[in-house]
Amino acid sequence: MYATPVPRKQLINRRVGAGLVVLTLITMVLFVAIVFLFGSLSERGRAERDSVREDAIWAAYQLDREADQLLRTISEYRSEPTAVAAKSVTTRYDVLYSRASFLVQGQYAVKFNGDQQIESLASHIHDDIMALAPLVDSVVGLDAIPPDILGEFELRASHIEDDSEDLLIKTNAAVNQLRVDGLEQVEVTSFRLAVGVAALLVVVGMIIALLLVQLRQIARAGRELETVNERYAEAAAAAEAGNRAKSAFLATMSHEIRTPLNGIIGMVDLLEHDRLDDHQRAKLSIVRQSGDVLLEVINDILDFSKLESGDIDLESTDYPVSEVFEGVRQMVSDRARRKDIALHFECPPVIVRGDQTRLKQVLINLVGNAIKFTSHGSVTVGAEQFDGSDGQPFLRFGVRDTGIGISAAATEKLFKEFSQVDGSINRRFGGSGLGLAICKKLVTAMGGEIGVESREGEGSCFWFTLPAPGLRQGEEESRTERVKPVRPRWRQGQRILLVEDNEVNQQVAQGLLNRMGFEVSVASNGVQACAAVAHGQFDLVFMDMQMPIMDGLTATRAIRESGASLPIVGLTANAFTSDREACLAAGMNDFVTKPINRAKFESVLVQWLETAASDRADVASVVENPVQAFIEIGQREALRADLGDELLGTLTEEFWPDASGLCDVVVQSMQAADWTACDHALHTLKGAANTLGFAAIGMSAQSLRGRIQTANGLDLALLVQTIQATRLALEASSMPQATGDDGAAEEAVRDDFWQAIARSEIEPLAKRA
Amino acid sequence: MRILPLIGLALLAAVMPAAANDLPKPAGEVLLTITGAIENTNTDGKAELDLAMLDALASRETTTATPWYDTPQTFKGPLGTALLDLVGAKGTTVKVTAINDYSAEIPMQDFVDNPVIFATTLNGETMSVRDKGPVFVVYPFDLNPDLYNEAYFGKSVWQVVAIEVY
Repeated sequence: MYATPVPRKQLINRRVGAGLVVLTLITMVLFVAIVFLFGSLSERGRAERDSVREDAIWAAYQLDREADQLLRTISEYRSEPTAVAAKSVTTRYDVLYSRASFLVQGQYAVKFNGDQQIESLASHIHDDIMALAPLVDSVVGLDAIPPDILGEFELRASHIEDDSEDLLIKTNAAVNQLRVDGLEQVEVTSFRLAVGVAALLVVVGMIIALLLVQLRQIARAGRELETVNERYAEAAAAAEAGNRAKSAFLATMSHEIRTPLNGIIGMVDLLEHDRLDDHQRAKLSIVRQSGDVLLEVINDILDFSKLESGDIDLESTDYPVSEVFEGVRQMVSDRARRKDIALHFECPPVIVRGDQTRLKQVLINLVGNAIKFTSHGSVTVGAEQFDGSDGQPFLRFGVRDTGIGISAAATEKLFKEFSQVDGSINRRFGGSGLGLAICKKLVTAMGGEIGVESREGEGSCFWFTLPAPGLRQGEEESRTERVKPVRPRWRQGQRILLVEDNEVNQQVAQGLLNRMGFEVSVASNGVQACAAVAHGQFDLVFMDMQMPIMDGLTATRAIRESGASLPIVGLTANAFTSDREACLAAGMNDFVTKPINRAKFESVLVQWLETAASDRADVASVVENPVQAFIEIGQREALRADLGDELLGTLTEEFWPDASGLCDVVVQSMQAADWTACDHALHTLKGAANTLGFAAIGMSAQSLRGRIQTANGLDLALLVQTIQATRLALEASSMPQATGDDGAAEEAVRDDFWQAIARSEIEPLAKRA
Repeated sequence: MRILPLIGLALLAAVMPAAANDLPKPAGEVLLTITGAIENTNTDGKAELDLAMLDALASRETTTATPWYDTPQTFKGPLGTALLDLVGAKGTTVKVTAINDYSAEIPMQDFVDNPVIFATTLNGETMSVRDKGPVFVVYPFDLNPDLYNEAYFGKSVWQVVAIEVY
C-alpha cells in the first residue's frame, strides 16, 4: 500500500537534492563576486591614486607659488637693487628650478592619463623654467643684475607664473572631474554589490525553503515508519499471542494425554510380570503395543510442532557414529527379532561433531519404518564418508530394507507431513505419518539432504547426508557414557522419594521402583516432599514438576536451599527444552519425560545410584547374556580384526596384572589422600579397559573417579569384583558352547558365570579393604 | 675615519667642560643654522654649520626609492642623532625649515627609532638648491617600508637651511 508514494517521494527528494546543489554553487559564485566587488572598493591602489591626485594639485600649487615668489623678489630688487636682493632673485629661481622636475617625474608628477592638455602644459612650463637657467647663470654672483637681463627675466618669469596658474586651475578641475568619476564608479560598484547581496539573500532563502521541504519529507517519512512499526508490532504481538496459545495447547495436550498413557503403559509393565495365562498375556501384549503406538504418535506430533515452529536446538558435540548406531540397534533389535528380520549395522569408526540425539532420532525413524514395512528379509544400516562440493567432509547414511517398496509416484510426497503412501497403510501399519516429515526437517536443519531409492516390491533404500565437521578416525573415550546395554542390579535397601500428585502415576512408579528393589516413599506435593527430605534418609528423589500447593521446581529450590545434596530427578510430561533447562536451573540433577517406564527409570538411576554388580539374588529380570554385562563384544571383535587373535590375546593377558597393580595404586593413593594420583590411576584403568572392550570395568572406574573423596572400601571392592567378573565373563565367552544360540547352553554358561563370581566373592575384598 | 673628529670633540667636551658650549666657527659657507634648546653654539646662541662640519659627523648612505624621483637614488649625510648630539640638543621636537619657508616638525624620537639622515649628497655629488640641496631630510625607506607614506613624505623636507630645537 506504500508502493506508489515511495517513488514520488524519492523523486521529490532527488529534485530537492539537485536544487540544493545548484543553489549552493550559485551561492558560492555570488559570494566570490561580492568579495571581489568589495575588494575593488577598498583597494589600496584607489587610495594611492587619490593621494597622487591631491599631491598633483599640491605640486601645481607650490609651483605657482614659487613662480609668484620669484616675480615678487624681482619687483623687490627693482625697488631696492642691492646685492642681497640680487642673490635672493637667483635663489628663488633655484627653488623654482628644483620644483620643475616634479612636473615630469616622480610620484608628484602632474600626470593625468588621457589628459593630453595638462601634460603638455606641464611639460611646457618645465621646459620654460629650464630654458631660463643660462640667463640666471649669467648673473649669479653679480651684485647687480643688468636691466635688460632683468627685464627679460621678469617677462619670462611672468609667463611661467601665468602658465603655472593655468596649470593649477586645470589640474584642480581635472582632479574634481576624476573625483566625480570615482564617486560614480563607487556608486556603480556599490549598486552591483547591493544586487549581489540581494541575489545571495534570495538564493539562501531558496536553500532554506528547500531544506524545510526536505525536513518535512523526513518528518513525514519518520511518521509513516512509526505507523508501519506500530502496525508490525501489533501483528508481532498477535502472532506471539497465537504462538503462546499454541504452545500452551501443546503443553496441555502433552500433559493431558501422557499422564493417562503413563498409567496405561506403566500398569501393563507391572502386569506383564504377574502370573497370567497365555490368553491374558496376548491381550496384554495388544494393550502394550497400542499404548506404544499411541505414545509414538503423540511424540511425533509434539516433535513436529516444535520443528514446525522453528524451535530446534541443535547440539554440537564430538561423538563416535558407532555409538549412535549402537543406540539405534538397542532400540529396534527387539522389534526386528519379533518380526524375525535380520539387522545389519555397518559403521565406519569415525568421530564427528554434531547433534547425536537428532541423528539417532532420524535413524530410529528410518530403521523403524524399514522394519515396519518389511515382512521378511533384512534391514541394513550403513554410513560412509564423502567430500561435499566445497571439500567439506560429509557422511551419507543409508537404511536398506527388503520390504514392500514404494512406487515412483509415491516417493514424491513421501516426505510431506501426514502423508503415507497409501491410506490403507495407516490402518495396516499404524503411525502418524509424520515420521518422514520430521526426518526431513531434522536433516535439513542439520544441513543435509534426505531421499529414497525404491521400486515397488523390491525394497527401499532411504538415505540422508549430513555435514561431518571435525570428522576423524577413531572411537571416542566417552563410550562409557553410552546407554548401558545391560540391566543394572541395585544395591539393596536404597530409598527413593517419589513426589507425584497423580495417583495412577504414583502407583505405576512405585510398582516399578519396588520391583527394581527400592524402598519407595510417596509425597503428593512439594510441601510434603520438603518435609520428607528433611526427616527421611533418601538416596534419590523423583520430583514431578506440576503439582498443587507447591510445584516441583519450587520444592527443588527449597530442598537445595536447605543444604541437601541428594540427587533429584525431575518428572515432566512436557518434553520441551525449556522444561529441561528449568529443571536443571532449579537444582535438579536430571529429568525423565513421562510416561515413565522401567527403561527410563533405569537409564537415570544408573547415573545417580550405586549399582551392585555382584548382588545376584536380587536380580529381578534375567540378563540375556551375562557376557555382555561386562564385555563389549563388538569392540573386541573389531580389535581382533585389527590386531589379530594372537596380539589381542597377549594384550588381554597383560591387562589383568596391570589392572591389579592400578587397583593397588588407587588404594594407596586414597589412603594418602593423593587424589590426583588416584584419579590418574583410575583414568588409566578406564582407558585400558575400554580399549580392550571391558566396558563394565571402564564404567566402574569412571564412576569411582566422580566421587573419589567419598569412596569407601565397598566401592573399591566393587571395582575389584568387576575386574574379576569381567575376567570370568571373558573366559566364559571363549568357551565354544557359549557362542551358540541354544537357550539351554546359554543358561548353563550364565549359571557357571554367576557361580564363579559367587565363589570369588569376598576373598579379594578382605585382602584389599 | 670620519668618526675620529667626533671622538675628539667628545673627548674635548669631557676634559674641558667650561669650553663645552663653544663649537668651532664654520670655515666655509654656512649651510645650516640650528637654534633653540641647544647647548653647543658658535654664534649668538646659534650653531652655524658648514659642509665640512656636517661631513665630519657620523653618517649613513641610503639608496632608496622616493616619491620625488622615478628611480631609486643614493643619498648620504650625517645621522640626525649625530647632528643633534653635536649641538647638544635638549628637547623633544625639531622644526626643520626650507629656503621657501616650508617647514615640518619632526619628533626627536624619529631620529632614535630610525637612522634618519640630513643628506648632503645625491648620487655622490653635493646638492645645489636646484637639486633640492643643500640639505635633504631622508628617512630610511629602504630599511623600513612602513615609513613610505604621506606622513613621512611631509617630514622629508628638502632645501633645509634652518633647524629649531624645542
